Amino acid sequence: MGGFLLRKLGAALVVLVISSMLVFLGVRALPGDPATALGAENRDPAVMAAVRSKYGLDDPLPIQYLHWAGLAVRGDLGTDQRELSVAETIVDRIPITLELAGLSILIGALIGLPAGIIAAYRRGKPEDYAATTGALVGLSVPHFWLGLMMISLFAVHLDWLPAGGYVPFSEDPAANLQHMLMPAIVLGTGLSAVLMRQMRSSMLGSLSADYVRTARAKGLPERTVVLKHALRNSLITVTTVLGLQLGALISGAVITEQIFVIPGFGRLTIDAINQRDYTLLQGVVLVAAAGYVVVNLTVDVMYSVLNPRIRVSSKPA
Amino acid sequence: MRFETDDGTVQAVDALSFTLDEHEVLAVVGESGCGKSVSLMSLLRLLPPSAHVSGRAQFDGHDLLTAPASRVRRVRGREIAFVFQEPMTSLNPSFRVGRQIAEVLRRHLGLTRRAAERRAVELLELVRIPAPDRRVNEYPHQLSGGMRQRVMIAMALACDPKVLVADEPTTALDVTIQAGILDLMRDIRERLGTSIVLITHNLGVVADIADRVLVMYAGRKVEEAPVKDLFRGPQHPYTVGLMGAIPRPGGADHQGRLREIPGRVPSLVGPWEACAFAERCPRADEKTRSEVPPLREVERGHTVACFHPGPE
Amino acid sequence: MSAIDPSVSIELTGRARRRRLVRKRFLRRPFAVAGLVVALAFIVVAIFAPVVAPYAPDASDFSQILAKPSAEHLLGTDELGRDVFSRIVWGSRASIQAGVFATLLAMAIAVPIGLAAGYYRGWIDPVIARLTDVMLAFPFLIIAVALAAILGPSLRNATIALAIGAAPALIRISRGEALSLREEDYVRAAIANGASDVRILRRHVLPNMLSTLIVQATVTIPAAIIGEAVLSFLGLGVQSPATSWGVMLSDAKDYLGEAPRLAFYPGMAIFLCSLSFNLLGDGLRDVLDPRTTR
Repeated sequence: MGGFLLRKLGAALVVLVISSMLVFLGVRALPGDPATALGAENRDPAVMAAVRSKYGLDDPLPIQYLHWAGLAVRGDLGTDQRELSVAETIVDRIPITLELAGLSILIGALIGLPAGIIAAYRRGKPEDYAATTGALVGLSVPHFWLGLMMISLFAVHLDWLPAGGYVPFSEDPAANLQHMLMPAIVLGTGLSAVLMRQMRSSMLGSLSADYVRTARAKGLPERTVVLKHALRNSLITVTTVLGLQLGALISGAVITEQIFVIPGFGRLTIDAINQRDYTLLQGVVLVAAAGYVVVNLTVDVMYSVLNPRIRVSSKPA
Repeated sequence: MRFETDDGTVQAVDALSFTLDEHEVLAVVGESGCGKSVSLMSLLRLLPPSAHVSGRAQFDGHDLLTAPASRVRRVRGREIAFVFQEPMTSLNPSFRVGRQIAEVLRRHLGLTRRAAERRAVELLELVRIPAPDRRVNEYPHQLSGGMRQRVMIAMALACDPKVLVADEPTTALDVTIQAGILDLMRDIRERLGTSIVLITHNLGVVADIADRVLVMYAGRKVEEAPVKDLFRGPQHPYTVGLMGAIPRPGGADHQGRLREIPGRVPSLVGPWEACAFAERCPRADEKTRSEVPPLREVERGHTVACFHPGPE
Repeated sequence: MSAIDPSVSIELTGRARRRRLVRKRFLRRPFAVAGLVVALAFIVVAIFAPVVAPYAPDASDFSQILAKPSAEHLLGTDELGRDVFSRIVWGSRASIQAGVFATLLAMAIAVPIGLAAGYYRGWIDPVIARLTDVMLAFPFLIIAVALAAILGPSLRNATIALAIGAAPALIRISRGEALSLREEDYVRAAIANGASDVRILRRHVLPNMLSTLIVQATVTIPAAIIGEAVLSFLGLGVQSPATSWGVMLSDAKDYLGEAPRLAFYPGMAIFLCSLSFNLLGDGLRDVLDPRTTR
């Protein structure tokens, strides 16, 4: 198992490095003079020259990259347009988005997983059709429209929940959850649809496997057969899918945070793009890519832990 | 027993009936797809919902086909145990082998986890797996095919069942391992006195350990006899053909070739109006092509479904 | 190559027979048929927008601002007095166009790359695999948003951005297909017979990937349509005075209190269009791949 993990780690590092290069080049490719973007609003040549030398913009590209990468690894992502530390801003915002993601996963899993199990067990029956159709609807609904509709209904017309904004958990847990509820439902809906389909497909495979037939022939009650034998083998695939869905979750968070005015990581990205704040954008996209790579790696590790075939290597008799 | 499929109703098994005595080894013989596995599995209601089973299965004073599900579950694994054909896929890959055996013991005999695990090791020893206390904690993918099959047998014998149904237990294994498994089954019969239903298409195995033989073709029973009678004097042309196809040193015909039965098994879709074997039978005539031959007793304990029974 | 190629005639009849079987099984599934019908309806409406829509999309009637649905205006009017129904019809052009073209562009990019990686392997494969991983490391939306920001907001650029965002996943899928098809016996036989690579790809590999690709395309289209809506919503796609469903939603978000229906209708249009394509895609998947467990 060690070799397997090392290889995955190596691949992850490669991806990370290439991503950082892409981010770096991408930002350089944006229209406009980087010097202007990096802070020199006026066109005074002296100021421009000063900015250039400060940021080393006259050095060849590879040197610039290494300089930037070196700083990044040490946690220094520079300062944005408003002279605030990029790294600090990101660190402030990430927990908020993580909370949103966490709640969404909770909602998505609580709805999607049991639905998938039931749909697989009652394949072809009304429960299956209902669940499958529901999942299809959940996949097709544009989540930002759902968000707008929910705001209109629950916040504007019924006044049950706040229309947007954010209250830190440490300040007021109840208010925090109130603000997070609708956005989490919006994101969780799409996730539950994906999880349901994945669980159903995986369980259908498990339920028709020979070892399930053996379990029944052993006289075990149905509940044990389904929840112990079949489910165990499906959990592996479903967990990996869940991990991979985090990327889509972050994508969704970008819009959701915009609509519900939540000061999270996603919103930061949009702001950075709109304000043409390239240093900030660089840092943000790099962190996003790094986060994704880490998640993928964790998923791979978990897969090898859960799958006995990889955890314990085969020893032929 | 019939299946509903996209192409129509498939009558997989028709009018099959047999009895099994205590301590008896009954071999059910036939080619792939003749309905032998499916008919045995239907007894314990182990078939998918698309299968419709009709008939009766008397065991211990109850009809298993109409008994409540809880009773069937109590019989499964405890009184009638199954050993399936594919040891590779019949064991759950995510659980240790010992735990899978212990599961039956805890469920049916109410043993504690510790007692069940101890008994599991004993059972592994019974089926002659070397180093059982080490093997009991391994996963199925760590064992060879032959050992996995032994584990399946150990799992089946755990509660000392009255009947052991072995569905082609040696087909997925190579010849050298086969002999070991057969030895084991012989051993089980002698030591534990379990009745065994052995499903196989290998007549060599039948000659080795069976007491009585039931030959099936296209879902129907075509011949049944004590093993010696069957080998000495097969009556149904299909059985005769099967015997001729056994590789035997010096036993083939004068050209030195194995005799095959020409043609293929007919499709099982649609109702039957003739002898199922008619197309391939050297004795076929108008009668066999228009009527289904009934089972008739030819000598004591020997029944055949044929209009022209007799040795070749 | 020998003059007699028996594999040709067998393939032809096999394929024709399979097509008829596929059609039969498809027609037996009401949901899939419904999806096909509705999706086609949307496409037809988009193409014939000028005929279907009673008003021009930017025809303002300031005497009728935020009017409720009536005989004159089927779905009411928006904050500038424009007929909502007509705007939805006209908007479908941009949205569906973006969806379909982005998908086609993505496939045009992804399939050859994936094929090359999966079939030839060698050094190309790991490189492409890593690059795909890298591209997948950036959430699809961030790439699309960033690209749209770089290239400037317009429908065309949004379409390109969506295509690039959708390509990595498609590359991965076509690579996987090519990889497994490569090991099939008939491909090996063809190689052993000395067939050229191009011939093998054209005759054996591509046709067998077709069903997977069709299903994937059908499922990518709704994602792209929603993607266009998102980009336009953020101001990075279609720009006024042109309209798309996303633009309508963006305009409507300020009127959620007074006239939530302004957001409801375009969103509903996106939802129904997306749902129909998804139903169609699901139905096709069931019917084209006999191995799916359904």
